[in-house]
Amino acid sequence: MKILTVDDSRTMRDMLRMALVKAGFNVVEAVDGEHGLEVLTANGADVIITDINMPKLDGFGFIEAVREDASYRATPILVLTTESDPAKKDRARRAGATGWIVKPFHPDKLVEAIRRVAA
Amino acid sequence: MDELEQIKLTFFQECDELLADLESGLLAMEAGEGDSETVNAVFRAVHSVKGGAGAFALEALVRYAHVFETLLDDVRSNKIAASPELVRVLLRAADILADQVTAARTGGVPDEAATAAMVGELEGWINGQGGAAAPAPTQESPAGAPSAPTDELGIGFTPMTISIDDFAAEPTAAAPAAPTDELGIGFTPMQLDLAEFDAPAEEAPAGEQAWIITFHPHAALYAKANETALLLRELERLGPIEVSIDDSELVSLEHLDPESAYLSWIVRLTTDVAEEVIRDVFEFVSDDCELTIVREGQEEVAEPAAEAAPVDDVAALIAQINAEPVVAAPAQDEILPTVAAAPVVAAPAPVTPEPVVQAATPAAPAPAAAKAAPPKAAANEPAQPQATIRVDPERIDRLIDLVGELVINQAMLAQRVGEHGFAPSSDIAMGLDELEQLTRGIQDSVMAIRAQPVKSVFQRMPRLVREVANQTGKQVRLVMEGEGTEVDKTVIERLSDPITHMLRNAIDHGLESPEDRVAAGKNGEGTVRLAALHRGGRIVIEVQDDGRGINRGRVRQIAIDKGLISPDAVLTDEETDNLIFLPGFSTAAKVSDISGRGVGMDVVRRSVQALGGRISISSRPGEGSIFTLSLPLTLAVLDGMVIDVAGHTLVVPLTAIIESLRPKSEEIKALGPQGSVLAVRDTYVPLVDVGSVLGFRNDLMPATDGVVLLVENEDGGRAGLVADAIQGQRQVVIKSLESNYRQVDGIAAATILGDGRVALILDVDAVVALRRREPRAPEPILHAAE
Amino acid sequence: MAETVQQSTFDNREFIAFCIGEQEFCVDIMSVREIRGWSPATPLPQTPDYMRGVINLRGAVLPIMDLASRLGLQSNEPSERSVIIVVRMGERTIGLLVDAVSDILSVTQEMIQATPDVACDKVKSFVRGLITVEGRMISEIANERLLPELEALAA
Repeated sequence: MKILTVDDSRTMRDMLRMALVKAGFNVVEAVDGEHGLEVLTANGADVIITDINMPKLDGFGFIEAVREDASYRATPILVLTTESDPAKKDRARRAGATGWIVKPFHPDKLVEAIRRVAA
Repeated sequence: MDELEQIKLTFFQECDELLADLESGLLAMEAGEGDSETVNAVFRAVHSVKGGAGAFALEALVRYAHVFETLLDDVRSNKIAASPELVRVLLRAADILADQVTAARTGGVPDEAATAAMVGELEGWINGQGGAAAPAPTQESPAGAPSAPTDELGIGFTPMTISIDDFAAEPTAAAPAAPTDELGIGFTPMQLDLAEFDAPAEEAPAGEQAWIITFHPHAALYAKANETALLLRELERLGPIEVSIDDSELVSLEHLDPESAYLSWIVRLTTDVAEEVIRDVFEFVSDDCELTIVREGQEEVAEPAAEAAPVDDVAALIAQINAEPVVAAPAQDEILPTVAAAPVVAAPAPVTPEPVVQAATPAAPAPAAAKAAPPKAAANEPAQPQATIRVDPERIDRLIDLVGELVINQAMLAQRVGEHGFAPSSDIAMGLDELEQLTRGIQDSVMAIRAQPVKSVFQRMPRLVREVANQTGKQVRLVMEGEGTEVDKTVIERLSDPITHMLRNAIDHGLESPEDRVAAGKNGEGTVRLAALHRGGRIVIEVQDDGRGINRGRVRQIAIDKGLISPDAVLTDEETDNLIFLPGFSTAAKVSDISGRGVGMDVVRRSVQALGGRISISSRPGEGSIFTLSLPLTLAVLDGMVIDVAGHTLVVPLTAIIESLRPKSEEIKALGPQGSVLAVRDTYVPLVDVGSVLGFRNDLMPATDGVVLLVENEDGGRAGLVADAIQGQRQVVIKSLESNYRQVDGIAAATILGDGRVALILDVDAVVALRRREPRAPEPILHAAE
Repeated sequence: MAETVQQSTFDNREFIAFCIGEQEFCVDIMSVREIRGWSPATPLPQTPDYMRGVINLRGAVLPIMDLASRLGLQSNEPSERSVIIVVRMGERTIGLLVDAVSDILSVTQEMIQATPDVACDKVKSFVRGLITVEGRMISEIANERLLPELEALAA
């Protein structure tokens, strides 16, 4: 299964990659929403994990853009967030996020969240 | 956990970048150049530091960053105006954040008093927001206060919060309120096992228990790519399930809205886990469905509908659902899983195009490329993270070394071929020429990989300037230019110290106090300009101040008092200014600990010279001074002129050479007992016999017997280097003498020539200076430490 | 410092012994990187007489010290039979020019005795101890003291 991670923080991308690769997933990465769309178009993905606060195109815009493309309407999107703030999570959900992962995340939690949304 | 340590290193590297972004953003705001994207970037920087710190359970850092972030969030959402006063506070807060990061990196303890004071200050701003600034009611922005517990308990979020509490092994039960909880303090992701998660602490498992779960998904659930089948699969992990479907709401096909959901699911689950764990399964969808979870026997409201059709084989159902082409299907063929899964619609009739198109509306099924999304931020920020690869610097260093060997080898080959008398037009010679071109090309490309903009050094300077300004009571505006100027990594690493010294010196000694400046008719705030530029194949760093200029009378007096010059020495202004670089000069009593930091300008000059660099100062009384530092662009290779001197082969850096001459005897005039000068057009330049200066021969060689290389040193002075002969020009790989021995006066470094022998690279300025010092003092022989 | 530790930890230490004129010296084999024949060195100006210059050691610039001259002994022009012992000194690697390698010694701690006072100051400052093997007296060179420049710089 191929997972696209979109986060402007290299640390977070590395953390995700480590956990995901250990769990047996393939990982592609992008550094912001715009980049994420490019990588998605170029590589495709079975699951997308995205940050919210990012330069250029933030997580909300990114999710909306992904959902606008019919080929990715059924692709699960998990948002990564350190926010405790329900407003942000709701907004991500309205944009079309499938679920969320609260940072800092436990690798098992991460995998569980993916399992919950991906066949 | 090697990998985790590696990521931690990455984190700290990233922190450096984030802190730099933070500072430059705040500086832009201070200068009134910040727009909303600047504020966003500033917020993101702190946010990312916090995020990464959380991952590594760096509690102090998380706590501080959180307060900082909260205030920035208020600024970002226009709750608090970014007044100049606030931006100054934020700059200091950024400095403290940098200290916190350093402390976290080194395992040290940051200045707690300073941190606490800053936290107090930041919180003051956060709390003072209420009446003060005009609140901009944005729907998304949180009520800034991180302490509001109700915020934490947002819908759908509760289960996660609780589980984090579990991990933290804090039996603080149900009140996940304080910001510390939210941040998962003590939650080190890698060290925990999942056992705790599976066995919730809330409530002792009361043995096996049957639950009735009724689940009616809304269309929105599918629009977010959630899947009923997956939820059932998750439930099945908790225990055996029996599933039935309520299709009473299912409409006839012609009324069917493919984006709608018509089915309800009733699941009987037998499990020993607590209700929370079952609820967790629906965490992501709880807003997009109707969900009831009750113990069997307690259900009354959620009585399954009469027509509920039992589904015996869940696995078969899941397989059936997964087999549907929904996931990858383009919009036109889209059939929702609910429909397909319902036994009623066993053989899906062809759906007419119209309703589908209509139905697909709310999200406009644009089959356009995902790229169609409009970029939100105007791309005025050049920091475009293009597709990049990350490479261990050691690999590049290794590559550069190898290319260096290749260059040497190629030169060696060329020399051999020459020795065998091949004509330049021969195939072999021409092939070698091509090889040389290619080798050069490779070398340039490889060096370009390692080239970095000086920004990484420059960005540390604003803080230094702020600190020195504070300590000295000066008002300083720092202007930086040419931060994008690229130079090899080997040089970058060596720039920081000299720049630091030049800046300290410029502020401490160069600039006057605000009162003095005003009295002199100047702006009370002094300006220090730090600039980088390429000039003549070198990188030049200038540090200019608009202060009082060097007090030459005083400098001269100090030099005389210290016995550095004789009282009757005749010096030009330039020479006087540069006395400050003499060894022993800046140990003068007056040197404050700010400029000096225990190190004099002579040490700076020496270290700069060791790199083949030059540093000088020039000054105009009342108007200011300018330090000029120049260094080669790389410390890896250099273009050189290979010369013969008294049977030795030497390399002279090409950048130092203006021209080479064969002097006629009438152009040479004796001057003094040993010296002579060469008439070059209208001027006389002193001749330097390289062989005798370096001790390769005792007697001066008549310049007419050899060649003269006209060189220019950093002060603009010229000299003629007398050599026996010129062999030719060549790019050479610089090999340090210091790595295995030490610095040698008059010699910048060594290289390996085509024949495999070591040749020395001349330090032109030092050779010229050595001649001035004649007669040479005997080399002091140091004895082993007693 | 590491050498001192080894000294006390291991009973047996090995040394490379070599001749300068009539005298025998040795260095701890742990510090020796390689032994190679003499090749002409490029002289370094402005350096003490005992520095013979630098040679190319597989792409690195290796300074060569004339050990005879350093110890204040009669120094001969190097010949084809001369040998360079490449030794590590902390972070640095240098070549010691000696007349010939004579032996590899396996030595126990008891075989090493302190340098007696009779030796001249110069030798004493570079010799760590004396080893007696089969009636021969071999002086152990204290590598780290050979390059005074380094100590001066570090001070």
